[in-house]
Amino acid sequence: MSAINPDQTTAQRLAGMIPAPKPPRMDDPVTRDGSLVEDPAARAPLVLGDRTFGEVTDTVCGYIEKGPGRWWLPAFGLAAGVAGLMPLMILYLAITGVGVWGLNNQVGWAWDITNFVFWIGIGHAGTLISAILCLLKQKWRTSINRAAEAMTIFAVICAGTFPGVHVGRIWMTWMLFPFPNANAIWPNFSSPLLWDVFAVSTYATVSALFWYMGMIPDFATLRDRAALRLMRQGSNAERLPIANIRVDMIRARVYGALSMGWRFSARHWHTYEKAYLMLAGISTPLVLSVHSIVSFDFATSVIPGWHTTIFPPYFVAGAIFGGFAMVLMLLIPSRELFPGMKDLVTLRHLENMSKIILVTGFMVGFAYAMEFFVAWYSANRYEQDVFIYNRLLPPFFAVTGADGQLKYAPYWWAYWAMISCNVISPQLFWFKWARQSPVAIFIVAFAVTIGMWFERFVIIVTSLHRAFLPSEWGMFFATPVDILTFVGSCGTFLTLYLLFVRFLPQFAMSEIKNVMPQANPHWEGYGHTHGHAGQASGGAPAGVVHAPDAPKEGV
Amino acid sequence: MIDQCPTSHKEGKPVHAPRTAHELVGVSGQAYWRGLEDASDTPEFRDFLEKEFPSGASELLTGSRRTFLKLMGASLALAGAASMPGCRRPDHKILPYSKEVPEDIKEGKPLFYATTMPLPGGGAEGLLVETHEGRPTKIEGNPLHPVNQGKSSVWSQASVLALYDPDRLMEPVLVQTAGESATGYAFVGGWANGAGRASVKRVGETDDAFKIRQAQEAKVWEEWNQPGHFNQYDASAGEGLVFVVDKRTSPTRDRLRDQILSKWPKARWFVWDSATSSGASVGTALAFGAPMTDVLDVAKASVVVSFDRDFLQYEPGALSNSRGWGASRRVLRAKQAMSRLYSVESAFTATGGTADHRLRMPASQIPGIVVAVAQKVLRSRAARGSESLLGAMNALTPKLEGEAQMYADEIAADLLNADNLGKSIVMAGETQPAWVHGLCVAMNSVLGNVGTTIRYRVMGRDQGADSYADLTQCVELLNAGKVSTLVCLEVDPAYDAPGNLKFGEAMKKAKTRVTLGVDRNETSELATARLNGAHYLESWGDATANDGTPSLTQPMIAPLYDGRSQIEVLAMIAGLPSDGHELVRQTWKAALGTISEGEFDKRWRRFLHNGVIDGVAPTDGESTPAPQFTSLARLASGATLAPAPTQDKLEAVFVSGMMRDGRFANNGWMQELPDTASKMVWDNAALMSPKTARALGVMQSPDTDKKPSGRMIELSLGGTGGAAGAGGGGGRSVTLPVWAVPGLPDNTVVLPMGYGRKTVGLVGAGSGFDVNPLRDSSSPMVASGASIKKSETGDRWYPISVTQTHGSMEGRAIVRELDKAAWDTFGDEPIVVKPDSYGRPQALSLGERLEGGELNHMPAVVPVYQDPNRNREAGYSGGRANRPTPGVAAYDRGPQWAMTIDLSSCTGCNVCTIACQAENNIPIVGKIEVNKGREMAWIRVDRYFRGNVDEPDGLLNQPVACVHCEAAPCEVVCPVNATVHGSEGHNMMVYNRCIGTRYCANNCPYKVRRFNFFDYGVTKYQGGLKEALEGVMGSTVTENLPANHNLIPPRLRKQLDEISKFGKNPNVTVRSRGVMEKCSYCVQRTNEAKIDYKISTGKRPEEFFPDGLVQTACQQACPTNSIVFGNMLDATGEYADAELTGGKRTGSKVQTLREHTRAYLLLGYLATRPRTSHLVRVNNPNIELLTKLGKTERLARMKDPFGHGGHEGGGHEGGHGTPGPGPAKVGEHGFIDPVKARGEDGYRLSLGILPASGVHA
Repeated sequence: MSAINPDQTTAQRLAGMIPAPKPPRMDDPVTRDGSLVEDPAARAPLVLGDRTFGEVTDTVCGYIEKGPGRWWLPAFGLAAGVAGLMPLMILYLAITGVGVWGLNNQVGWAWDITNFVFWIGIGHAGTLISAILCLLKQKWRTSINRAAEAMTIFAVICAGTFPGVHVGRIWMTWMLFPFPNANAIWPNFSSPLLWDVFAVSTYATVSALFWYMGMIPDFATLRDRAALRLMRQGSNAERLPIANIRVDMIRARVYGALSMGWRFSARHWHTYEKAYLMLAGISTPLVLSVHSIVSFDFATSVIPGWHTTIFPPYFVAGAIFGGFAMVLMLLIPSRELFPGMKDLVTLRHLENMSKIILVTGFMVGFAYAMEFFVAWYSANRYEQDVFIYNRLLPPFFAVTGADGQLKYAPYWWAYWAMISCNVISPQLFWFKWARQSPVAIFIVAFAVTIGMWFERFVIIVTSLHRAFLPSEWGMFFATPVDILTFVGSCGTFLTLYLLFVRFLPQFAMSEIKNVMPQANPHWEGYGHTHGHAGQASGGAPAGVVHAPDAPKEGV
Repeated sequence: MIDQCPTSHKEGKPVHAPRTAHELVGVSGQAYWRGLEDASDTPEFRDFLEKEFPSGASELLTGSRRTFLKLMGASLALAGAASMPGCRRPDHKILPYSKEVPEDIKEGKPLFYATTMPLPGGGAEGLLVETHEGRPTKIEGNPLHPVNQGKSSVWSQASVLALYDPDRLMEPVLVQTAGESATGYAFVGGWANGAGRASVKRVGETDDAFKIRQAQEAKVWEEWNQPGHFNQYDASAGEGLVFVVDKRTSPTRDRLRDQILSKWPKARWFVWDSATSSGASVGTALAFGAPMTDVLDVAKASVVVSFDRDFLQYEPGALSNSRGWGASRRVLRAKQAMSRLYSVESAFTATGGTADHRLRMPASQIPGIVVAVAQKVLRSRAARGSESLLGAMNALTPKLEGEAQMYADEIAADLLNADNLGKSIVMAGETQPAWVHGLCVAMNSVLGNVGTTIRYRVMGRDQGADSYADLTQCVELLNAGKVSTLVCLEVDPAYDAPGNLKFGEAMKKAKTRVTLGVDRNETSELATARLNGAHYLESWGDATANDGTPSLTQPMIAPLYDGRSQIEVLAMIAGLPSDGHELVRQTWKAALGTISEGEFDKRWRRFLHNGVIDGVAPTDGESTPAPQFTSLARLASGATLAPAPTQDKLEAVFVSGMMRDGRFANNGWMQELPDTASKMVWDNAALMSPKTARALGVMQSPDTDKKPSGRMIELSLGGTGGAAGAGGGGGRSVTLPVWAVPGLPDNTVVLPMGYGRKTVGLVGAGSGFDVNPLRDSSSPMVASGASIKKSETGDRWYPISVTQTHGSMEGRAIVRELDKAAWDTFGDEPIVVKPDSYGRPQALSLGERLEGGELNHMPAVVPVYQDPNRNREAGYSGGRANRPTPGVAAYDRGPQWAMTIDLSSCTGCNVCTIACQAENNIPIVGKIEVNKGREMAWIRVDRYFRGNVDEPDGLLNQPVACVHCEAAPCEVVCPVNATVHGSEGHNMMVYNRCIGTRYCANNCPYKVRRFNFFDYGVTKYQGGLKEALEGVMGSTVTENLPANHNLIPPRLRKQLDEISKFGKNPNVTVRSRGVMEKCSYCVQRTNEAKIDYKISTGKRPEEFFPDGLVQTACQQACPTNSIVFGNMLDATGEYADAELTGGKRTGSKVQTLREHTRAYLLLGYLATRPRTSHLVRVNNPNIELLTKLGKTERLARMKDPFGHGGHEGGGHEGGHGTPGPGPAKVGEHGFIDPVKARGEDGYRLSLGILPASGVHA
């Protein structure tokens, strides 16, 4: 063995010529698998279970080839049924009028734009994980980025629907787009709503490109596996239940087309890496710009509660906050439902995301507090009234105004739902056990998702319902159409996600392999004799040397 | 719309009639249009159209040029045919009201005709009616009519909608036996053939249907050929013949009445009007010997005292009263004289809302305060014989408590003030008994008001009749079986008679029951002959206004359904020729005395043209009679003062407001017009004070919890308390919701009349609750001893639609007001220029500085919008077409439109809202949609209560429409450029571009934008749900469903009736769903005026456009002239009230007022630069009374009206830590509240951080 160049060993191992040595059994006090190791000098493994590259490929492709399990079809049916509500409600809206929603003269936007901002916000985590964490070389992103990007795309689809259908004359929505026409009618480029059109469509395009491009090598893997099986199995291959077509034939064709001729050549990888980095660079400002621009819808207006310069960073932080919560809500059940996924998405991943939620939760909490400070600091009584008498004061703390009337905030429940969900519930993550408990994380993530919906509701409806002139004050009451449209959008989101886990690779396989110990050129198996040499350049595998019961092989 | 007022009309110069189309063809107008429609309605023609168009559209591509022309011709013919039904020009010559009579009618150019609307209860309004191609579309006041003087009321504005009401009675119906009806024209001899009219084909009627109808009519004619039905009474001198007619002042009807009664002396003639009590007529009859009506000259009065009389609204003289009142309140200089209004009232009316001092008091208690005032007045101003009255009053010792005593003392003192002698008015309203009216007459007399501020006119026989006595007699006759033929002309006693009379049951005892009415109503349902009446816009007639001015009603359009007017039917009954035109002519020919036929024709044409009859000797007697105190004393000596109502024995007050007696119930504009104080639409309710409602446990849901809804109660009279007071009547009860309205007297239930009609069209169906069953003919307006019980069965909560839920200004400086003392001190101060918080100069009028005015109180917002004046130095370089002119900014050119609204003279009468609705084709949305907050009114009247909202000491009105910001927040946010700024300062709405994002409405600080959430404009109100359900269920759904019809997709709904489309203004687009709309400053009028100006003068309106050539609809209707609109750049014009401004300046009216020190910009601190400014309301309170009432805050504010430090002009140093006059107490005026003061600590902190700011300057 010693005669052989370590790099050569690696190459042989990578080529599958020699079996990989079993990884050490790393331990930490909780999971005994090292994923929650506390030693700051050590790096927790990002893939558990002593996986070889081949095993990773088998696991990820297995979700598609073997199917996700019996639960999938009923879940998909249910989700698709709920999703069907959305086109039905939109159809009714389109043929009858916007009045089927509960809007009125005072509250011109309510659930429509709330849902829009809510979904757009959710769409933020994907690109953040993909692009910003990529640029910052956060290796733990690799096992969650694909799912997060998919979530982004689906959330943007849901988001984009609402501004499209919320207009009074849906059949004239095309007028939002600046294309040359005989009437020389151009959109108003100073309207934030138009900026939205550009921001969201750009974001959707870049995110989709990013997502798709990242999947190309994985599509090629799926194609090759299908082609191989076709060759090996011949006429015994699995066939479609409805037609005499070999499933692998479809896979080979479809994934083949999607992989755009990818041949795993070094030149392809080289170009791919460059393109990936460039798209990451392009996406990074988009993460910040999209929600900033969405916030301009409100910030550039004159309505107290909207007219706030704090909105751009506040919205971005909130979007990351809500987006991570949604990623968690998707991944935690996935870990349970897909075999072997716990090795790819470790508790370490969940804990890291919990910490981000805690941090961004503080950011939004700070923003909420700053709104009050600025309202007070501005000496503008309209601003002050919006925050105290529209949002804050619950009826049991009502004060008597100069007119003898009890003053309290009619939408206090929405405000306090937002505060409890967004500011109070993440505080649970101060406790390590909570950050490391998938159940607790799921509960908090769910609360945060609800809280973020309420945040948008509070900003939009609460600010509008009592603006400058008390004569026009009024309340907004949601109608069944409002509610079912939103429920339908949740169904749409879930349907698309279920289709994603069924037919597309949930993990970027090449990237995962990159962060596995074997990918380190200096890695020779766990506990190789030149131990510490790998630490400087190696990354993940180095830490295992210090694992308490690392195998002492070769010592 | 260049003013077509004929003030330049030369007397005696003959006015030529237009050579109308029907004159040209030499047949009647109907024949003309019928001919063309028939021609266009042949099957061949239809086939041709249907074949060629639109399926033939493809032929455009393939066909020849010839085919194309053929297609074009066909569609043009179709367009012509479609517009033909509108050309129902009347038979007789009517004269357009315009300065220059056109040679011929120009299509597309409206003509104005003068006519007269008879007002319910007597009186009339002189109107100008805008007609487009023979269709009346808009009502304006006649400038020559002394009552209107160009102004109009909500009723006349809305009357055009009633003309086109698709629910009108369309044909006369004879009911032979119960349940069996036949259609025909055969009832009275001459009905069908008397005027030479045969059955006429209707608009939209198919050939087949017309033939069937003709056949039916012929059959009925055979069976009912009884031309001599009324001849039977010749023998009995009219025994058994009874007429019940409405209360109106029509000389021609009076003449026919006299003829009928002389022909049949035993026939009975009863006048019925549910909404007027006999108080005024009996009171004046005792004082003067004959019932008299008072004609007020409010402008001359310095003290006006109203005891429960809403003299500014809903009465025949309301328009002239409002005008006078407005004139006396429009103060433009300090120390200018101003009237003072005291109102003691039981309901909350426009009069009370605008009063300087308003005392809420149960109607039964008001006589007490009248006695207290009268005793003081008569004691110190004794007249001959007045001591008898004083003596009679000695028995009455009113026990007034607290505020009431202070009011009585101060009202008397104010009336007796030497400066006010002969310059005051004391009056009482419908709820007050005759002796109270008598006391008011006596007071006016001894105070020397008669002849100066008030004059009396003898009422006509009909107007002076005591309706309740009349109807009681009528019911007695009916019950005694002494009536064989009952003729009800435009009355509805089966609905609006007091419950104790049970008119409906009695009516059935007459064998022949004839009703005449424009609409179907409860009485017509009981008729054996139901005749369809003609609307006043379709008929000839005449009416005498409240001040005695007679004028003519001329038809604008041939009767849409061949209906007949009252005088025509009366003439038929009397066996006279029944041509309305001739009937009216005869009346006035007789009145003019002996003049030649030619001279009469000349005069007649002048009457028609001017809309006013002149040169006829008045027949209304002495105008300054002296009262007979002794007979008043007799009346007063029998009077007693009622005990105050308690929680167990509530007092019920019946008020007639917008619906009056229910006759406007099917008028959507009236239904959707918000009530002055409650802002309720589409319903009535048991109105109570919040305190009473809470005590009884029936308070409505707060507006924050759910949609506004009132608790259903059962309100019963006399059921529990036995013989309870005057109105106690046998345990009658009604079930209706409660709605608490601030400012009502405690333990009083105010019940608006005219709702809950049973037989009414689709619009009025299901609106409100009928309170007439509770009423008693002995005391029709007030009933005591009412008790309530919460409904536990059925719906416990009833949704109430109000257009404004919140009554408090929340301490914001929205409506700004000033008391006269402060105005006199500060009114003449020059407008100060002070640096704003960013150090820029800022002109601060008095209005801007008031109440801690926002402009110098809050940090100014730096607008992100472009400054339209930015090019003032560099020169205007606006569009490509405009070459830059040095020194001229964008807003320095052309007419620049602006508006001012004087809150001091606004009474909140709502006529601006309804005039705007009529002018701009604004749809009604219905009760459910209003409940959701989707009303469409472009101009609304906001109302706020002053002081403690539960017990307000005043009501503040503020009309708000789009203020046309120069830096409009709506414009910048529209993504599709659908709302843009015009070069004349219009904030424009381009409907075609609008896609309905509603962003503009969200960003509008004034919330004046209105969104078409559904197809309100083009679908029928309440149409389609029934049909759609029938389609689904396959059976007939008979009920009118209460659900929201708008939720049906518009394709499944009924479209607007053809007839309803006639009333639309052709110059304004009818908006589709999904489109935003708002006030346009009547851009169609301004553009038309500019074109007219250019044509008539040859000058470019961009260079100079004189002020006053154009009026907006709201301005034109406003009875108090509170709304002023015009070109603010016209500096050459002379403001009509220049002497009021001190003669210092000339300029357009709007410019003068815009730059007046009372002007302020609503939410001006936002730097939106509105083109509409409001003028601070100036009150004229009695300082002694305020002192007695302990209103120390208000008195302090008279010395410093600027709030904390505001007067120093932006100085935020002084008085902030300890705000000026100290924190406001609850229940007080309260513009300075402690929260606000605390809120400013932050601002002071920021100033420390920003030392360079100019605030400390």
